[in-house]
Amino acid sequence: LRQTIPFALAGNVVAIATAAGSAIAAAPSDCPRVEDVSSELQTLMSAAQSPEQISLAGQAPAIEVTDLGTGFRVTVSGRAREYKDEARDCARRARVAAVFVAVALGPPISSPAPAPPTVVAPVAPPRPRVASPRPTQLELGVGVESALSTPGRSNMIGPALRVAVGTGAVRFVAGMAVLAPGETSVAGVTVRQWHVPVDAGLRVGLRASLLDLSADLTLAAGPLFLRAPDLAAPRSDTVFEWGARAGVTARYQAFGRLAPFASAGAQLVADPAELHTLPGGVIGRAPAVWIGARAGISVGL
Amino acid sequence: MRAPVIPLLRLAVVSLLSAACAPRADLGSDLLWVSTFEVGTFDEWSSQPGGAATSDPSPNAIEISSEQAHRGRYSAKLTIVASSGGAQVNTGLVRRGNLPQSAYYSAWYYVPRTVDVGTFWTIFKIRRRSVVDDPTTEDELFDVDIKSLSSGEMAVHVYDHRVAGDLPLVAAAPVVPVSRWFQIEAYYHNMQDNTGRLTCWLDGSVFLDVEGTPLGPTPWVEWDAVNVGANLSPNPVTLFIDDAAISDTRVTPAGVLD
Repeated sequence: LRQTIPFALAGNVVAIATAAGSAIAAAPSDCPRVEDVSSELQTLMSAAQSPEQISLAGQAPAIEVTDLGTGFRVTVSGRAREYKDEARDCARRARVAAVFVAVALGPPISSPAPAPPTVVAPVAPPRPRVASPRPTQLELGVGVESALSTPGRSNMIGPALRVAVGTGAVRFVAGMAVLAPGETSVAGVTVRQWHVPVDAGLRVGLRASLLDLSADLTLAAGPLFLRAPDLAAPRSDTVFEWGARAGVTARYQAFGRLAPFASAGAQLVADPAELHTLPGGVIGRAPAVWIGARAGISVGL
Repeated sequence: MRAPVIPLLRLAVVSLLSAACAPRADLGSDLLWVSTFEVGTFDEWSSQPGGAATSDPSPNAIEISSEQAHRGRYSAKLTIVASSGGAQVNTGLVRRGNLPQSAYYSAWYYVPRTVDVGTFWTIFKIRRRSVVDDPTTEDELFDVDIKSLSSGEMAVHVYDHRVAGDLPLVAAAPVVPVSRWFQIEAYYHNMQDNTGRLTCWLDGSVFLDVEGTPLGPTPWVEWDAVNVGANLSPNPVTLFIDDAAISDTRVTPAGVLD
């Protein structure tokens, strides 16, 4: 409740009224006269602060000025002060009384100091909830792979597992996939292939945020199972591949420990095996380049 | 603790060595039967049901020889004496019956010198049987023959016993090499309806292609690699045969038998 303090005169009484206009106190005084005290008080108060700045918490103070003959008494909200003035200098008494009242009233008696401006810190955009890096990331998913270098495209699919260990920008990574048979035609001979690529090397973080990007460069090896089922006397054979693999992985880290991921990569085979049949002899070579993609869930451990 | 190290080292060395050489994947074979004569006998033929190595009496002969070989050390040497005015003489390697209705038949030949063919000279035969289970119904069907050209060279042609005449060739008078191995291969799709087919290659070049016609009277097939002739000179006439095969797919001159 903000109250202003208007000053009003009621006979010889200095009355302090609330905003609603109710008189608080009154007392007779000839010297000083109430009007003079009021005038002096208004001068003081206006010089110091506007009346609107003087507010009372709760109620208006009672101000009384009493002529004691050889002196006078000023009372403000129960605080009283007597001054001797045998000369009965009424103008001086009015100034002294006004000063006392002004000192007693203001600066704002009970008005609360204006609240310091609330400093509202600029609201920063919500920070991405980047999961704290976990030392081991296990990627479980499905892999698809296709051979680039055989005459006919051979597509394979199967489960894929990959693990990255470390928390720095460069981590150790290893992976394995078991890719189900895919068929291709080499020199007219149908060749069925199973591919189990295994690789290990380094993973380099490219961008760490909600969408985590990384690149892998690894040494790759593993068996390639081959069979030509349509030959009169088919035979299964296994060759050991080795080479290098490069790939990129993107993880969307929005679900705490779990993050969906997708990756793409290519494996270069150093010395692709010759494919041999009778009577055809060497009918071609195993794929020199495998391209593939993986997708699944990454689990932070 | 030395024991585990040695196998590991051995494995590493083997891996490196195998990596240095291109690894090879053996995917199997379309070959149904092969004869390379490297066993030094005719067992590859004679051990098969209906198989044989036969010859008319001496001076005609069939033998394993190391005089010539397409690959390896040995081949079959077939010798006949077919003098002018004389009767037909025969030496041959036979696969009779138990053969697929559709297959490729291949053999390599070596003719040491040019032969003047008076009546006929057959080196490759396909025979028929009118009743599958009755050997008495066997008869001649197609012969791959060599004939003499006016140029002095020799050329192949195919004789059809059903019409007692030569089949038309897709290549005019394919010349037979002398003193060099050459391959004769035939695809025989022995059907009794209009889907039959006979295709022949000389060193990989097709010289006969008959298709869309019935061939043998029954699915029964006999294939022979032979040296059969009449009225040839100079005598004796010797022919070497090596690396014979029956296959589900074409052997071709580059074919590998083992």
